[in-house]
Amino acid sequence: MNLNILVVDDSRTVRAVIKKTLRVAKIPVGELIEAENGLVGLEKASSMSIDLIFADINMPIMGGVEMIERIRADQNLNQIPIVVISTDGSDERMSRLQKCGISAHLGKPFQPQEIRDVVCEIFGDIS
Amino acid sequence: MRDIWGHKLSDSLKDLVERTLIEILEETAMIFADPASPEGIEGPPGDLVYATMEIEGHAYGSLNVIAPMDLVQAIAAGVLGVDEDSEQATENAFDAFAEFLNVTVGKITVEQFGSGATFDLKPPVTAASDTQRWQDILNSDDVVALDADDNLLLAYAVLNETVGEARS
Repeated sequence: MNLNILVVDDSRTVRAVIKKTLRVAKIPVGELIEAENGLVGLEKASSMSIDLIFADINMPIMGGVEMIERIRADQNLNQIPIVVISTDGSDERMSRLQKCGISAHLGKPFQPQEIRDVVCEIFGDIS
Repeated sequence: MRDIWGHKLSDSLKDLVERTLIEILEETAMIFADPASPEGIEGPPGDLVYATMEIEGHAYGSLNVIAPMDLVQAIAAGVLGVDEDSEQATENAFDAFAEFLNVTVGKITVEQFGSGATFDLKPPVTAASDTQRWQDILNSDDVVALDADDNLLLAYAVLNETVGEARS
């Protein structure tokens, strides 16, 4: 099973690191789609077939929380698993994101094994 | 409103900034840094990059860092796992420096105020910088200086708590 993965982060360095981490963690990736903010992420999620989203929180134009809330409000998108990767781990924000049904939250900096673990938790054994 | 980091950082908070910068450099870029004495630092070393990140919410202020381009490229190379002289390191240098600051701010706010405090962290901003800014930061009472693989990095923070007793 190859996963189409959307990575939403305003840092292209982080997007590159996640891309590399997925490779190192041996996650079978079909297409890897990048977005530099929540608005672009929302557009890509709406127009493409996405299996999993990695999302940052603090981004210009549209932040991760708003993007996730809008995805969850869209009946065509609301089943896509979302993993938040962010420096922002405040209780209030986590509570808001948990209500949106995010699958996991990883703090920055993250380890490749953490990425693999959350993907396995969501999709089962993917090797 | 209680002043936490005003114009004069308390030693403990200055230590936190210093320690966190060292940790994040090591964790994200495999760059090993040590505290340096600002007194011994001479003129700015070549091209400089400045990054700043504003913090709002439970506390407000900013964390500011300035470093020579060589170090900024080394951070990008370390984060991406590529050679320092590679095109990828050069292209991503400013962006990687911004992300380094972002991760540092995230860690400092949680360590200082706990996860119960909510922040609105603004996207970091980076730019090529000049001798004047280097000198201004170096002359600040609050400067934190690091020797990172024979390159100097200067930082200073300003942070004022806006909510009285909300630490967790």
